[in-house]
Amino acid sequence: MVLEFLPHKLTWCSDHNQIKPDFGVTASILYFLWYSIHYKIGDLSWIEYCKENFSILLDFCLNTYDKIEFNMFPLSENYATILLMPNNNCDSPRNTIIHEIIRKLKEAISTEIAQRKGKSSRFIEDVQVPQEFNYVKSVIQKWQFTEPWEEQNYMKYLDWGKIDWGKTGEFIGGLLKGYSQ
Amino acid sequence: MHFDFYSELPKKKKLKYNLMLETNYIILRCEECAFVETNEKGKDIVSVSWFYSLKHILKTLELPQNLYPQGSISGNRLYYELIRNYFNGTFPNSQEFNFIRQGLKNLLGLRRDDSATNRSYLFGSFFKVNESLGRRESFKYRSIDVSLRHTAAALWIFIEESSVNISPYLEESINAFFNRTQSYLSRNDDWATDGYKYFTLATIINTCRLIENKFPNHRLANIALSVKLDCENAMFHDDCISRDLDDNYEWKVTNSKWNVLAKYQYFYNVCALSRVPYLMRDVRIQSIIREMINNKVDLEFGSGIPTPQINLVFRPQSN
Repeated sequence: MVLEFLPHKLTWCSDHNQIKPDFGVTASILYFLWYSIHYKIGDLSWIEYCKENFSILLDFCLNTYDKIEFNMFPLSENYATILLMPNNNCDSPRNTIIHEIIRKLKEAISTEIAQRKGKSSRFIEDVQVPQEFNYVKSVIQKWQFTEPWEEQNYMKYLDWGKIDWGKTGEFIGGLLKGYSQ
Repeated sequence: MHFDFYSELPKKKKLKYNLMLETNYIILRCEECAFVETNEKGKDIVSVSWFYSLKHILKTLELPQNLYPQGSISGNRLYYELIRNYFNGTFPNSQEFNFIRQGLKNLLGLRRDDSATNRSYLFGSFFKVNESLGRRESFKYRSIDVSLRHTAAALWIFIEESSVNISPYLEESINAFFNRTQSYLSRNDDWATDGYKYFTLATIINTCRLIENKFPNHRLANIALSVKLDCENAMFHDDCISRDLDDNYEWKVTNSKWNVLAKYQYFYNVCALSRVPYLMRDVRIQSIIREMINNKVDLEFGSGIPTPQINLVFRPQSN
């Protein structure tokens, strides 16, 4: 692969077959198409074009959101942009399950940082999640949980609930510092 | 036009669509992190940001590992919006979400340069506590690397969190933001060195639109409208966008230090456009999206779009 620098234009020359599509970029464009159709942005020919491509891109997203080879930057702004799409499921009892998965994973991340033993990520591995969320674990295990914390005063997830800011503003964390160190 | 594609999906795809959003939502929530920061007065303040995955991304993008040590303010703005959107526009009124929102406001507040002697009331993505020397009494202050893009993103969050009555704190930052933007548009400040002008402009426009909507009767709304129109014009200026001989448009990436990111061109294209999707009314923006879709790659999983533009044929560019 050769990256050529041209006046005002950068051209990526490559074997087309080697280029993999990316979930994040595709998901973001899917959102643009939805937005155009939903809010009637652009003229009729543009709306028609959006409709023609919407199902194609949606199918790709549904088939690849949990395949790491199609996610160049999980998590990234592109990957997460799919959450701008409408959520038809936000009030369902399913949310209790989702919340519990998040809680367990965040606690495992806290333990991972507290142990500061490098990239073993065994605490995350040990978290039991429904099979359909195994992908989440594989993504999180790629994150960096060690070096940044040597400079930063990390707060354990278990301690989040001990502060109730309400609407009173910033918390001065004198006591908390002892907790996290 | 209401586009309810979801109700027309077969049951299996509906389940998969829900699972796709849930998977993304869990990953996003796991990315949140709380930490204690010490300000110039020695007070410890709890901040919240999103940045566990950042090192991994910086490595892929071949950017310095120490960039954005506590996360990207632009990223935080988007993640704030995404979590709220997941709950159909309103944050759950729970202790956990109150914690995240207050922690985020604390993070941003520490990144405004209001303890320096030459304060600008603008924001950056990180700060350090410095000591002023050469006076009778030295004092400590927060040193901030101010960025117009981060200022726009930080203000967007503060405005969303603001009541309808604008506070003096917010007003002085919005005024400073307008002045800095006008200077930027006059080709002063960092216009020439900003490698992603369209990205900066899109972020500014997004904030101006919010000011208009949130404070419609305030004098700032009129200024926001004017600045927004100037930024929209600038986005379509030759410095920002170019047209090739096939009449396709694309954003210009002008700063050589960012050239390494050209292979992730579409990554930045969609980042910027997600701030201003209403601009798709313009055929030039439509052209950028069409070009990206034209680059889609067909696989057994369907047709998706890669991050680089794939140009197998050289096409000289016209201005």
